[in-house]
Parts: sequence; C-alpha cells; structure tokens
Amino acid sequence: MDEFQTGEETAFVTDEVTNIVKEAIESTIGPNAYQHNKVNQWTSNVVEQCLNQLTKLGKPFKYIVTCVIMQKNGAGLHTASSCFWDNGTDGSCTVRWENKTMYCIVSVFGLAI
Amino acid sequence: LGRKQSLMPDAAARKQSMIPPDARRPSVLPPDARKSSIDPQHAPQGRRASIMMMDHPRRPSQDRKQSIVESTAGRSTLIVTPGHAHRTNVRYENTYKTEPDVKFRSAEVRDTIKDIFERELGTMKYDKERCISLTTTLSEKIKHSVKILGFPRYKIVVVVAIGEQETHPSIAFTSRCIWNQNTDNFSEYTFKNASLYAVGLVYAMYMD
Repeated sequence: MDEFQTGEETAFVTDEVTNIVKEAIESTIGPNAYQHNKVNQWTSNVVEQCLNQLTKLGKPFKYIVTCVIMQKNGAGLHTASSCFWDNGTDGSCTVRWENKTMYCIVSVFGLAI
Repeated sequence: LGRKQSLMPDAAARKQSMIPPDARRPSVLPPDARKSSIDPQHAPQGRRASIMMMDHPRRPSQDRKQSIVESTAGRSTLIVTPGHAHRTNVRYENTYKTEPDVKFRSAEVRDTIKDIFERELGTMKYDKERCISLTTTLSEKIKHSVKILGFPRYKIVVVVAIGEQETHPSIAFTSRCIWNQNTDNFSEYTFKNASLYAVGLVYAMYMD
C-alpha cells in the first residue's frame, strides 16, 4: 500500500550526475580547439544536454547547471559556491575537464522538490 | 506452516501486533488441538479458518494474501506505520503552499552582491592564494546577507567566481535551470577592476 521510497531514490546521486556531465562535455567540445566565436554556442549546448539528460532521470529535483569555458592563457580562475538547502536531499557536483586549449568547468546543483 | 502456530493469541508478547490483545477475538480452537493445527487436516476441527489457508496448498501468491489476513487477525507482517525506521531521510509532507508570501527580489539581491563586492574587493590586485580563500568567504557573506533580507521557504545557491583580468576576453560563463518559472529566480552581478573580475550569482528556489 505504502510506497517505500528508500533514501537513495530521493537523494542526489553524485556519480550518476558526474557521468551525465562528462558525456555531455565530451560530445559537445571533446575534440575541438578553443574558438572564441563558438564558445557561447558550446556552453549553451553543454548545459542544454546536461539538463536534458538530468530530466530523463525522472527524479523530483530542480536543477541548476552552470558551465564555464576558459581558454588556456595562463590566467587564473577561482570559483566557490555556498548553498542554503536541505543537506539530506540536496546536493551538487562539479566536473572539471580540459583539453589542450581550454578548460571546462560544469557545476550541477540539485534541489529536491 | 509455522506461521499458523503464531496466529494463536500469544501475541501479547509481540510488540508489532496492531490490535491490542483484549480486542482480538479469542481462538476457537481448544488448547490441545493448537499444536495439531499445523496439520491442515486437523484445523477444521474447531476453527473456521480462512479458506485461503486451508484449502489451497502454499503458493507464493497465496502467501502474500495470508499475511494480510493474518494482520487483520492481529499479527502484522507489514510495518505500515509511517515511521521511518529504515530510512535515513526524513521527508516532510507537502504543505501545499505553492505561492510564496514574499517573492524573491532579484534587484535588491543584485545591489547586495554589488555592495559586498565593492567593499571586499575594491581595488584589490589578483593574488592566487588570497583569491582562493576570498571566493569562499565572499560566497558565505553573500549567502548570509541574502538570508538576512528574508525570503522564507527559499533555498539559496550562491556561486562566486574570481578571475584574473586579461586583455583579450577568453572566458564564457553560462547557466541554465530547471525550475518553477513563477516562483524561482536568480540574480547576477559582475564586478571588474583593473586586475581582476568577480562574478556573483544567486539562485533562489522556492520550496513548497
């Protein structure tokens, strides 16, 4: 009668999300070199693909996906995030990816409904 | 087969019984025949037990029905209470308050981020070690001030990025969200000075 939802089904599963993000990055910008005029399109594509895959998981979550693509110029970048949420059900994961010409950092925040 | 035995009302010792012992109907079976009730052939002697248990051999589907029958007779095989004994998460029930009392004001939050950046960063030069701790403290500060502004029932996510200013722009920052368009919002501010830039993002998601 009662549906027993174990904790795992409604908590944020980092591994799953990490895989989704890696696939999205690799399929969008994997083999490419940095091109300034294409960067906007790439970031949008990465984010869109991540979101599509995340919604396919079918979990009761709201998602925030941010993507930063940076050319390897020697410049430095630091990011930090601070969240006010429910520790038991919500979570985040960050994936750093690089190739010869650029860095890509994707963060996914999942907030349970 | 051993299950039938436990139908006998010695469940007073069993904590899981849902019906208190005195409210349960006493077994019709005479005491000496209790032990022999294991054998289905003896059961019709003194007891009109459920048909399911008597006439049909034990099949998996029947077993399940049996457990329901037994629970109505006072023995619970299913723990139906909403207690979360085997769950680590406590899920709160929906309160069905779909609209927030106070909506997230992105302009106000933008000014807050701006103030904090200008106060903390000002004319600072980009310094690697310092910026590492600076990003975390800034995000904590922004989160704290957004909390003070007071948006009840909102979950807040703050992202801060500090980078070195370059002559040629070589960075792209994108974000997308899946949220409720009516109630959720975000706010963003970019601070630039001679040697560095700082991006502050605040997302607010309403929790109903």
